Amino acid sequence: MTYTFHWEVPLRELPAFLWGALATLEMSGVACLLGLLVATCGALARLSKRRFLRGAATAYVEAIRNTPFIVQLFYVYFGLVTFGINLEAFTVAIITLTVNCGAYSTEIIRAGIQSIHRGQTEAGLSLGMTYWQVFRYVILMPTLRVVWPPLASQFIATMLGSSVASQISAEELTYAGMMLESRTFRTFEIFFFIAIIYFLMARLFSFLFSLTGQKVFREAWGQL
Amino acid sequence: MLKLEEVHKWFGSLHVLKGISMTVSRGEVVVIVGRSGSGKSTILRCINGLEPIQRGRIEVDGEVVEAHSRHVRKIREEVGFVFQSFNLFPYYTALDNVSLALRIVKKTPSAQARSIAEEMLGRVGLSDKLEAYPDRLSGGQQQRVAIARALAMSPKLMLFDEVTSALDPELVGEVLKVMQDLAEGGMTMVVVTHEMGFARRVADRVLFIHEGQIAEEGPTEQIFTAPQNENLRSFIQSIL
Amino acid sequence: MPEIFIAFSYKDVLYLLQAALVTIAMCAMAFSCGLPVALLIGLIRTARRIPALRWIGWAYVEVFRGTPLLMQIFIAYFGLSILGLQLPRFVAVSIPLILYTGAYMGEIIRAGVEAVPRGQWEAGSSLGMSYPQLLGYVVAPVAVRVMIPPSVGFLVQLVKGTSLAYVVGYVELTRAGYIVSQSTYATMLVFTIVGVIYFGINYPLSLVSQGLEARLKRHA
Repeated sequence: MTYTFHWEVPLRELPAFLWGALATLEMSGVACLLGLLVATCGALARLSKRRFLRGAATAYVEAIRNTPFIVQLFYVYFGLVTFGINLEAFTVAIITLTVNCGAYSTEIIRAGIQSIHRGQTEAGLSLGMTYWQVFRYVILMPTLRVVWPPLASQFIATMLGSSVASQISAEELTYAGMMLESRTFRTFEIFFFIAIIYFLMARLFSFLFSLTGQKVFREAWGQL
Repeated sequence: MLKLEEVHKWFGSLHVLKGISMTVSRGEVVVIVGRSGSGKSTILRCINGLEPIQRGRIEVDGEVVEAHSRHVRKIREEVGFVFQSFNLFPYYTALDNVSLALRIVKKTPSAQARSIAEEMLGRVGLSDKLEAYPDRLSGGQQQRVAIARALAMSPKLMLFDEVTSALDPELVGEVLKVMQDLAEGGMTMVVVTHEMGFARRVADRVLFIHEGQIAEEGPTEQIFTAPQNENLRSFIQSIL
Repeated sequence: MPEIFIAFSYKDVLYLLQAALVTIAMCAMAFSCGLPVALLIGLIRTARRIPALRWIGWAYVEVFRGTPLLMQIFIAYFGLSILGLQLPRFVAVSIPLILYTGAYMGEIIRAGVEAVPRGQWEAGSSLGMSYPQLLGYVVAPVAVRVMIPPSVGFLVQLVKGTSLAYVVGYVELTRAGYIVSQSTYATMLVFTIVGVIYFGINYPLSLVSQGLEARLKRHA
């Protein structure tokens, strides 16, 4: 092996990477929250009695789930440019990531809502609850409990997927690595280091989601 | 035929078997009774090595049983085990369920395995269900296939672990009849059961297990008509 | 609007379709070579009596599921050249995908094996079957049926994953789309077509997976 490893290169740039990591967290955090809103609407649309809503939501979900994120990113980025809208790459990334996360989350929430047996709704109503009370106690909490683990996994996956945003030069962790790489050419060491940062972030979030879930739902989930 | 010497078993810190010693001679039918959790099923599972023991010794026909060893496989070819939940292989027909082990464990040629399987299924009264899959059979029929499956291996010893407990009452009789025929045919059997009527009719000896120990044992009639042990007395009363 | 159609012709569509074949070839390579890895990982994760093996399998899966695929591709691609290996590009890019498949399919296999009720294992053991025999005759029929829907779902994931070979310059469908759009300026049109092609590959797979899942639930 004629290659000598220069681990001090990425270590020297730790501050840059930490900023990058923060940017990644900001990007994916916003995207997940907005995505959650989109997903709730999407899930309700998918379960709606109106065929148009159901169809539109299904088309949205299937289109996103069956195409690669990088293609979606290019589509939005170049599409906006074509129509004369010049947004910052970071913003474009957030938008696309939101749309992406929203589609997957829609399915998760839809499945969660459907897993609540219809009989329970009927039971609630028969006990004299109002629709709102039924929604709050019979549907909402159990649904949240059911969707929490898969949603947590999806959010972590979204955070990992945000690394692709580097390809449109959005300023996040991977992009920081690419910048350093073009200066020093220490590709392996840099990206190995960055991969470790992603891994640690993913584990941290898995732990936090698990912990929060346990506190709120009093469920003993293992690691998510 | 079968010998247990001072067998102790712990599940973690729970002392489940506290010095079990028993022998079973060839051709004997021994029934083990006791309350839930007394350890009776565990004894059976230790005999064929499904559960390891921490102290003591189990011998089947002179061979020591050591769970998780390579040798225990050979012993299992000679010991048949019938489970409470049948455990038939869901994607095999009744015939294939019975002949599978013959073919792959005993390396019996296909045609011969098939005819043995047919014969066994005939003995348990299911000649018309050869090509049926388990999900099409009633509980009693599934259990009879399970018995046929164990019998096909020509075992020297048959172990029955509460085999009727999971059955609807009206299906229990057909399984007990098969077991009775087996006993009358001279098979060495150790049966864990709640079916007292069956025990009285078929068993040579009865063992009463209480809290991991053999509280009383003796010939069948003696156990039922003149039980010595207090726990046994209250147990019999609660059953009858 | 008419500017979008400048310099774009059917030749470009053919080029894209060719690239689609490359994508499919990469998937086939990754999946077929990844399956043995997955089998290994899946089985060692269910090794009840050797915790060390279980841990190794768990660690492997965690690493590949806890890091971005993009990073995996970068590291593997450049790592291989560091080791001095001069592999053809196709192989070099397939290797991270193979390891990725090994991790995700390994999980699917583990779940499939664990779906077999303990009683079946015991029944087979009690009949004197050895471990390999148990796996082949008792576990396989049940596990394979359980594993097929998520496996098809994973294929979709894999197809999307190949798009990241873009970043090391390898010409598969996404990189081809980029190249065409750079030379024809018909970006929107090109990427729409690229999206449609990916959709055309993946949607049938998704439908099959969903259909199989529904059938499995009914039979259970």
